[in-house]
Amino acid sequence: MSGPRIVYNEGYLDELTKRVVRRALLKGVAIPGFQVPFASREVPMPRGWGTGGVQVTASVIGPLDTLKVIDQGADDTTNAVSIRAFFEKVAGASSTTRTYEATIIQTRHRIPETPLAENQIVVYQVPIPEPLRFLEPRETETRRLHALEEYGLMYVKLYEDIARYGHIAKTYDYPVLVNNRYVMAPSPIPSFDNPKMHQSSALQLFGAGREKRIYAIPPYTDVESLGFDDFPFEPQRFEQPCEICESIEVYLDEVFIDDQGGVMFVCSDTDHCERTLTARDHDRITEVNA
Amino acid sequence: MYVAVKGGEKAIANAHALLAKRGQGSADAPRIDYPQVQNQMGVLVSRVMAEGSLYDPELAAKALLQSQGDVLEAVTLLRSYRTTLPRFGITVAVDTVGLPAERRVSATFKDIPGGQQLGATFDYTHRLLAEELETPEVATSDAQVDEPMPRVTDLLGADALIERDRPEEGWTDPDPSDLTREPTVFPMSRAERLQALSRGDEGFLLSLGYSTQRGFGNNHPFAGEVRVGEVEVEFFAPELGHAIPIGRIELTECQMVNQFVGSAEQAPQFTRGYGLVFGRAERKAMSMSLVDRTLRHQEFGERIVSPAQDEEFVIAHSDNVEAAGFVEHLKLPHYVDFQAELGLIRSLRREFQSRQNSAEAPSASTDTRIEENA
Amino acid sequence: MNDETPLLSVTGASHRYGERYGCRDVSFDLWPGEVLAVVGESGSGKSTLLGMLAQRLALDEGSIRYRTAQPNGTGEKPGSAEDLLDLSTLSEREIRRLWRTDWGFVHQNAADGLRMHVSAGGNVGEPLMANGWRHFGQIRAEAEEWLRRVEIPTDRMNDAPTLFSGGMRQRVQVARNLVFGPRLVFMDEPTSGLDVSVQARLLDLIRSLVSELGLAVVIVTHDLAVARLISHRTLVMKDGAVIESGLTDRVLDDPQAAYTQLLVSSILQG
Repeated sequence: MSGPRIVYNEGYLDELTKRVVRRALLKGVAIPGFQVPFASREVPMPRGWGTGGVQVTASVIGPLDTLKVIDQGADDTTNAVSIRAFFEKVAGASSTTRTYEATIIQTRHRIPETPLAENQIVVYQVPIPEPLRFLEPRETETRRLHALEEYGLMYVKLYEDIARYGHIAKTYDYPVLVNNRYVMAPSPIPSFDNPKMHQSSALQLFGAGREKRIYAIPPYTDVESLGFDDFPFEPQRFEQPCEICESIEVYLDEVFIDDQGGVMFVCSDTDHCERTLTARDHDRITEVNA
Repeated sequence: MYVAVKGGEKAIANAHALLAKRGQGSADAPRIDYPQVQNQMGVLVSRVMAEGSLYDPELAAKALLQSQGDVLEAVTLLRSYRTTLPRFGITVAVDTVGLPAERRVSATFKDIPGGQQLGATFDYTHRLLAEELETPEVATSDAQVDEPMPRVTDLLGADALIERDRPEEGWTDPDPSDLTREPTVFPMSRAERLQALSRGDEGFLLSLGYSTQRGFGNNHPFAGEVRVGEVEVEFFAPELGHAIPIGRIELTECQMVNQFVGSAEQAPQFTRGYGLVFGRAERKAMSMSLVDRTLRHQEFGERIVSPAQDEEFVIAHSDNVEAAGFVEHLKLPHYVDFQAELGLIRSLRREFQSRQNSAEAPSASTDTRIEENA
Repeated sequence: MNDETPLLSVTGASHRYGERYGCRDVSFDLWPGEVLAVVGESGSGKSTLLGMLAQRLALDEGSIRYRTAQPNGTGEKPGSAEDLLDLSTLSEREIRRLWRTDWGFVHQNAADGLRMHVSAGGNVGEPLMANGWRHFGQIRAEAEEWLRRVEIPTDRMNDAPTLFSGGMRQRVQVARNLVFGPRLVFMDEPTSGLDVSVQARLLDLIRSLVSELGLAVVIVTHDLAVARLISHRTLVMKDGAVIESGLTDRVLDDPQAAYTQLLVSSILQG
């Protein structure tokens, strides 16, 4: 046998695939919130584990980029670690855990607490791109509903929630209206994070590998969470602060600390928590020394 | 003092090491190497190639070893590798009659030109677990008559007893679209469906095919021909101006002969179901042909009575790489969303409780409508 | 409103199943507030006719014209001239819009016309939400009012139709089809399969609502008694063709065609 049998392309995806994904991304940016079908390829993690996000990142990342990968808001959850290691291997970019240092942030189920800037790209991992999927399982029909801007069915679901529970019962993957035209599934971020998508300075890209759809929200786009005039969207709130860094109005993880059901609440965004704690300790030290 | 769990990287590295150790098994047992898998587990290797959509028995064998026998894991490995390979183009359509088949049987006729060639098959074995595997001598006949083996469906087709395998007029033989390169959108063409079925999960298609035989969309199938053998693969090189053979691959082909239809203008004819799979894969080829025919219900105006006839349902769920990925992704952390649900259910329970309490109080209102949240 | 043009004008409408005509050369005009019954036995072509009128089956020959509120059919402008618009010139989007603003369809089987697992209130509210209503309280109040008008008690409003009797389900369907103020409603055997007393109540309800709202209705039925009770005019169909038409009372009391005579007399004997 001559050369090695198994050879990988730079950036893993073959060049044609990168082009296909970029074209889909451009279409997505041109039509905010519209789901662009693309020929999704398999990548070295299983479907459902972020292959859409990986393909999007692989198509936009270059040697000058700095990549942050988070899952559930944390940099060191297993999936985030695995994806970061993958890109360290196949792309020439550097990586970081600090939100403000990153040029690309690939995320699963959270938007960072730190406000984003114009040079940043957020890549969301999306399991089910179709917001109407559980109301209407047929792709042929949902495509038509989007084209004809017929979203009555979505409001029926919200109506049912209010009739049954007294308020809307969707707490994550809460549907939004993008640029006043397309209803979009923001991915399973908690509804708490929805307001961050509205008029964001960053470019937001969404990849659903298994379902083979890409969509996008260009910077400074209106993103409105659905609701009724008398029952408007209300993001979830946390009353308590983080017990480590004392931040308020951040999303918290509930953690069991003993086997009697004792819990404590800490920041889901580990980078934010760490930096806030460091800054607070630093302030305390300078206070003491002053 | 609670310290946020760190060390995800280290945990993963350790998990990899443990996995490799499990894969090794007992230290005193000899390790299998991939040529052994390739040679002695040919049917399994075929399956990995078919569902991995990559014809490379060596790599498929390696993948099986790497995955410690987990077929879907091996398929995933092959598919992932496929992503990084460059594509040169599309071959000329293979001719399954071009080379003599190693195995070729037909249930529709007792005898056929070229004979019923049994070949290597489990079909007539007694399913008795053997202590030792034997390798008897295979009798070779001196008269190696390479009698041609025309397709049984072509023989039926000569009298127009079966629908044609291509349109009557204006057939330009266009390249079929490739669902690994272009986004597929429902409804699909038959060619796209066949591509999806060929790489679809064998178990899933087997069950669906079985369901059609049990009345969920029956179309009276007969196995016109099951054929296993090698075919020549040719590539049209524009620089040379003609097609050149680039190798041979083993294929299994099944032509099902199904229920006839006709109309006022057209005499009744048998209809077709088609299956084509890499390697030795009769069960898959036959299942594929049953599902193919069932999904053609619209062409024949057949009533929809079963899931096997639902194109979106069948095709969307036939890819086991996608299926395994999504089912198993449930193991990934979902605690952020779960937290949101916890929050909601707690507040709903609080509200329920306060409604109960105020309903029991003497000054309760009898209005049964849900009150707006204050 | 211009009283000289009909609301719906059908000319030579035909639908073919292969070589066979399911329904051939049917012509009639329908006026606002008029109820037209299409009667016949199974195989007469009455369901095919309804299918064509409701845009579910292709119109192979002839034309169907509808008088929209505005010449280009895109909305309501008081006092504007109304034209008869050929439906084959409309896009899918425009047709779907007419189904939300102008037309209703009550199916024989409630499961075909309702979302069986959405509450009654949600079912009746949906056309409003599809038309852009975004105030929950108002949607609910309007749905409640329409359910009341079809005699469904408010305390059943949050129940899904799977929990309702056949008669109740049909009443929810009626409410769902009237809530957005259509001008024309198609009904496909709306009372078959219901108990006789339930049928009578439902027909009474339909009749009073239709007259109160000034609706035009095309109702397909095999039951002459239904035609008698509810319609002004009747078309009698056999083998895909209209063999007799006229005022309902005249057709049923003094049938001219032999087949109509047979139909009418077979009821008296039955």
